[in-house]
Amino acid sequence: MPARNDTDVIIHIDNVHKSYLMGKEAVPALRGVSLDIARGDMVCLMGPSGSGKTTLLNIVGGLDEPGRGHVTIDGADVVAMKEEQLARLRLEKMGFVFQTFNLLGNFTALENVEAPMVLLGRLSRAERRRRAHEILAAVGLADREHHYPSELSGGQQQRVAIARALANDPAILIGDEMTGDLDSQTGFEIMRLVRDLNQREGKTVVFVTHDPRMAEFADYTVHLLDGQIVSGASDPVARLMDTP
Amino acid sequence: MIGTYVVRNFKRRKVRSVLMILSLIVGTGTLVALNATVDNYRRYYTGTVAGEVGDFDLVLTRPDTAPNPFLDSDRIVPVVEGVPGVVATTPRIHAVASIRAGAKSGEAAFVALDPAVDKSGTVEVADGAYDLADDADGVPGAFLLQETADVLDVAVGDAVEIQYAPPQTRLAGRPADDNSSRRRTTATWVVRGIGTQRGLTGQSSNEGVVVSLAAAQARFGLGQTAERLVIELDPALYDSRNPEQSAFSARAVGFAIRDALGHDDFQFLMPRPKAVIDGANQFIFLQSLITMYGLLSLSVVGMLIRTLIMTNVQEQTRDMAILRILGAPRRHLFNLVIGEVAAIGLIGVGLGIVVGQSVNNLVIRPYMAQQAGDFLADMPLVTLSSVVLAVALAGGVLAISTWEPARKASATKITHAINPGIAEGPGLEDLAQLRERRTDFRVSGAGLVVLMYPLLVFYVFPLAFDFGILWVLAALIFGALLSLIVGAALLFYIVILPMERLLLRLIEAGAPRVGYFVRRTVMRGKVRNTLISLMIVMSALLPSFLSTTLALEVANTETDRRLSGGAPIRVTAPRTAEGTQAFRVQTESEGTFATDLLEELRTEPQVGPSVGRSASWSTRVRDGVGMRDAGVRVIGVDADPRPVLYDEAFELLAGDAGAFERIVADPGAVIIGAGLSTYLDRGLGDTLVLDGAGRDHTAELTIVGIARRIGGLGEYTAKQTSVWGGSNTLLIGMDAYRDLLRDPLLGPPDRTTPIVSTLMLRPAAGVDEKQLTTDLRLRYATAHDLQIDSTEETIETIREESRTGQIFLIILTALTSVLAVFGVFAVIYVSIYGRRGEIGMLKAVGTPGRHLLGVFVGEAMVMTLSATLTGVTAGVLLAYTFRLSNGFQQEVPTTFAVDPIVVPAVLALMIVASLVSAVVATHSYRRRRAIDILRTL
Repeated sequence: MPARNDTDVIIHIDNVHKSYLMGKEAVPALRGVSLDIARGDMVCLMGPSGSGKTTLLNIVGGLDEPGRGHVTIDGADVVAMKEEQLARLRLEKMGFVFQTFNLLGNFTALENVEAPMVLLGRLSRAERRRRAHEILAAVGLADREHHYPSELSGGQQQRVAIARALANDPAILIGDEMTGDLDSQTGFEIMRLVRDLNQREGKTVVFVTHDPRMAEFADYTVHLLDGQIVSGASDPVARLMDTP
Repeated sequence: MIGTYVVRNFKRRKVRSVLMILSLIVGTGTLVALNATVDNYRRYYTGTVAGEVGDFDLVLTRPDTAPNPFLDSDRIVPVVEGVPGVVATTPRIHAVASIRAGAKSGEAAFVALDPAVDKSGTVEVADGAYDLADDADGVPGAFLLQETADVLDVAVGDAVEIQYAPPQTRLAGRPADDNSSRRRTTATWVVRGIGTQRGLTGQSSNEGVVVSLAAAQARFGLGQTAERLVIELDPALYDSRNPEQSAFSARAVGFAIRDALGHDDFQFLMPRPKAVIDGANQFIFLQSLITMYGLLSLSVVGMLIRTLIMTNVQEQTRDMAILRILGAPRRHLFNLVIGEVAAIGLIGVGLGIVVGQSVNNLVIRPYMAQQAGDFLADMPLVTLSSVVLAVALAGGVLAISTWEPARKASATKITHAINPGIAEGPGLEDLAQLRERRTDFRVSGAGLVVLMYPLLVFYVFPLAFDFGILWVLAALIFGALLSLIVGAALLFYIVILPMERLLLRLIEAGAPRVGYFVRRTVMRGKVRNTLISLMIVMSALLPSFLSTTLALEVANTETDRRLSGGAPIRVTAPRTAEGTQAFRVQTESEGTFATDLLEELRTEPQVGPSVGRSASWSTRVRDGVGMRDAGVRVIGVDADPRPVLYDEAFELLAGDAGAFERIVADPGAVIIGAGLSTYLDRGLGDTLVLDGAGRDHTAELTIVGIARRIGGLGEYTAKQTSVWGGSNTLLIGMDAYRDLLRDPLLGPPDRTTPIVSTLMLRPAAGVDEKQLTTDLRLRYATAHDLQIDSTEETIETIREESRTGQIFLIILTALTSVLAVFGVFAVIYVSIYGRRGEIGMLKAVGTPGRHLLGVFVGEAMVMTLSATLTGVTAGVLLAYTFRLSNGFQQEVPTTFAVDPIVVPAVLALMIVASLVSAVVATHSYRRRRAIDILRTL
């Protein structure tokens, strides 16, 4: 058995608990979840409503914090981070794709992709423009870059959202019901695109879906029920060892 | 169910509910305060009028044709006091007396009153005390007014001799006999106090002496008689909002007193009611201004409530659709919205009345009272009518602003609950409506707007002025002001975009990342509340316009007054002076100086150079060959006016300065205006033919100068239009003037006949202008019924009035600006609320909180400041347009000026409003995590 290489685990979740207060009662969402996701994995989280999959995704994405337990993302302990530090981590290392796209209505496709680069402030205006153009071309929207979201179809909007998620070249792509608002055919196109990015650029992808057909694009699926992982959680090191 | 809905909505949307209540509190409070200001101002006006004409409602004297000029006060006072509406009746003696202190003497107002009962006016003691009683040695005390004390060089403790002559009587139908001797009595008083008065003597100046009536009666042998009765009426008589009505109410008491006295031989004077009615136009304008401010405030409240209630309705569309599924009729949904607004209105308006009363009692009323003196002391704080009006208007605004949201709520479709995506499109129930052709009222509305101007000009204004109905005039002034403000705001609305671009550039220069986001939202945002932007434009426009107008007036007062007055001091002869009939033919009704009086004035050691000018005489001037002629006014001068005139007060376009000497020396020389020269096409050295008095009387005059301006000596405009009006002036020497006005059939004119109507003069070297004016007034004004005007004094008075106006304006601006702040907050709050998803997403992708705040502050600043700057620009430009066009008409230069207080205050207030609004409205979103925000969508 080869020595475990910690750098290959990009997301480390250890015994995470999370509860929500519903009225005066605390309702547990996650109950002692542990999960390691290796760099370059494409992982699907599935489970019935209320199983805790979105909560887990939010914790993985640094959008939510666990009540108890440890979460490490690319070696950084996110539980100990302050809000501003978490924001910086998300800006640099993560890309988000939402079910409802959440594009900026007054920005063109190009400007929506450019926005995270403006916030990071590392590139010049010309460099930002060039990169945004390249990413949009990569998702097949080179001819739509000056269109506003309202002028794009649902599938095109989600492509823009994916392009925006890739803007700062993040290591992790987080998708929350990315295909939930799309028809099947468009949903498949989006998943193929994400899978392609995962395989071509080695992005780690964690996504939530209710659709088993979409789950098939993942390397493996983690099933949750009542806040616990019931199947699919794999030891990334073991999987690495299995890899020929 | 409506109650439950209202309470739950209040709990769920606390910020919005509190915002609406607060805006109603401020809105209603402003209205109550503004209405109270109208009431206060009316009293303030009456109070300030008192300073000019005396604090007297009614004065009862004997006419000069009565055998006995004195009144038997013991008999008359009980009769007068028995008339309803009379509060107090006090006997007095008013006269012009000769006052001597040491070697100095002069004539001034002499007022004898009973200080124990006579409470008219106020006295401010500068030195000593207001003590009119006899001292231990039996010498009575006198209170000397400041200007008289200064001229006579009197101090407290000095003795003054007062020489009094009883009023001169005459036989009915006969003039007074100048040769009849008047008994003069002299007595000594000791000066116990020196100071100023307001409303005590009936004069605005502080010249004269006040003594006790008892002492005067004893020393001048008048027994228990008085020269007049000063009657104070119930202040409630002036309570009407209509000044004319107030004055007539007071006059009704006058009639009652006349009836009670049995139409005996009395003369009635009603100075205050007369002044109130005379000043009604000024009051109407201010009332219109205040109404305009009130309307602006209310409009902002209306916009705010409409915006917030509409947001509530939009948010609850699904709940309402479910209610409809459950069987709720449309009117129920309508009532839910109305019920919510009614509850909020009840709380907001109720508290607003309290706030309005407090603002009035603690701020406005004390200020007015300070300005107007004790007159406001016993006035009611806020009248019932003020409150009722405010409540009615607030109710009206609430109803109008709620109508559309309530209608939208009642129009909620069931589809909103089933399939919100298609609910906004037309459904089956809308098809019938879509097919039906309907009247388009907008076309008729546009027609009405187009017709408005001709209707106003040709019908409404002439009708209103013909009938002279005050409330119609007030409505027209208000309408004109409203049109001006709304029109200018709409016209300048296009400036908002360039202003936004300018502000965006500034933000981008200072904070590029923030600027990147702000630019895209501001320049491309579709969800902009145009009405609120317009309200902000108007809120900034009105105070900017008024304050800039005031600033321009102050800055140009000195030049304007110097140009119009011409000389530092002008002494005008009484209009009824005798010896003027020879020159009355076709002249204005101006009097002339008696020759010896004129000589006396000119040889006063304190008087420097002087020039006597005649009245202006209307005649016609011709080119001599019968092609062109024009109506003109002719003025004669008896000396070269240049040493007397201000340097900027005269400007010759042709001819040298010697032209003035030539017209005095040469009866055939004339200086004409540039407009007349152009109209007649006659220049320097050319001749003109003037029609003189009598038949076939003409004079040929040679043009020696063409003037653009000669201050105080007529109109010499360069405009030809003034020639058509016959107002252009010809300036000639006094001898030529006499010749022109004398019918040749009557023989040559008498060169000694008085002809000077105004003496323009400068103080001698080293003599103070104000001091000389006071001195001349003391010695000549009352004794010879002369009017003495000082340019410097007029300038000071105007500046003082402007300062008062500015403070008044600041109070109004502050009140309405507070409401504009609420408007700004509502817009920003709703805008941010509608962009929760965007905020959540931006936070999710890692936008720092400070960046978010920067973006929203930037957006708020750009949106608010652009509208404010547009309003300020429009207001300032409007003020300059009026001033410059007026300057062009009057051909006077304009000194540029900016308002140093109101305009910066409006800008500062809006900056603070945007900053606070953005900080408060984003506060909860900045604190919440991205996921919490996104969950609420």
